[in-house]
Amino acid sequence: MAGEARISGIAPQDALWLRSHVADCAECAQYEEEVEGVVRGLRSFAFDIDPAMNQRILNAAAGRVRQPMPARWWALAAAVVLVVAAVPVYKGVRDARREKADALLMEEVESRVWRVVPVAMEPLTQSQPEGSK
Amino acid sequence: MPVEVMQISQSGECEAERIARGLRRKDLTLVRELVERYQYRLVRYLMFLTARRECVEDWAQETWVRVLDRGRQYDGRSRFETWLFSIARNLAIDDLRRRQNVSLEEARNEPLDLTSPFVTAARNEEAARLASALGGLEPIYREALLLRFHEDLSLQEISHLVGAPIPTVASRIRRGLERLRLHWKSAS
Repeated sequence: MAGEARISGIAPQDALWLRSHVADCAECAQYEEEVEGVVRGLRSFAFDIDPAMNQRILNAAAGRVRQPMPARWWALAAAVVLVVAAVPVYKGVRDARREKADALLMEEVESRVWRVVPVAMEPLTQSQPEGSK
Repeated sequence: MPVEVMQISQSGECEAERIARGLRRKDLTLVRELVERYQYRLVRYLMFLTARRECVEDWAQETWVRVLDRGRQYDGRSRFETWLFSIARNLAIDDLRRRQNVSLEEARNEPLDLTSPFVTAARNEEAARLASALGGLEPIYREALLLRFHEDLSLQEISHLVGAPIPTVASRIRRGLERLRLHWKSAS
């Protein structure tokens, strides 16, 4: 129970019982003392670290944060170039389409005029011989 | 007493949320503050986990870079150090696994650190008594002992960090403690 008290904790009434038991039991008191010594020893380790390490790490981190910025700017610049280049191309295509459509329309109008005019003139051509009679 | 505990947990929660917000923004000022606050604990954790002093700086540096890269993954619901340690843990284990695949010829060229880092880190007689035993202890036991007695993490937090059930974590701490206790007893 002395070990469990250290590892996961025990209920307050169990802790009270443990206290009174350890006061009377030399074996458990020694066990508890050894466990406490181990925990104290574990907490006494202190590692030396290079004071410049933090700066090296921060430099690496800063480089990582700055890295995506040029990529973003490149992407933005590419988008702007694309838009600027696309506008005249779009206008050219649109004008060409319009010209083509106009030409087709003119052709259609002309062909209709030539087809429609003779038909419209048909009664005239038919009534002429009667009139002449 | 309960009021005090509540205040501590509330401020802890706010702190974690503040860190999460800063990491989402990749705030370098916050990262500087975190490095200054947690760097020693990170190094100590990696040292206890692997006992490889020669690799620890590289792992620590890569851990912070990953903290920046994956900052969005930290939601501020757990303590920052558990998230930090879990990144460091995965990184160190992956690296050690990769190193095991190098040929013997390559491994021979690697500098060997023959002195246990625990011997040089023992600052008093009690630590010195444990140093050699600690070096011989399995890494999972050392890790569990550090997280429980140095970092004061709960069994649940340790379980979450190491990805093992709570009874397994408790068993690791119990076994590690017992092995060190027996060594302690024989040394005295």
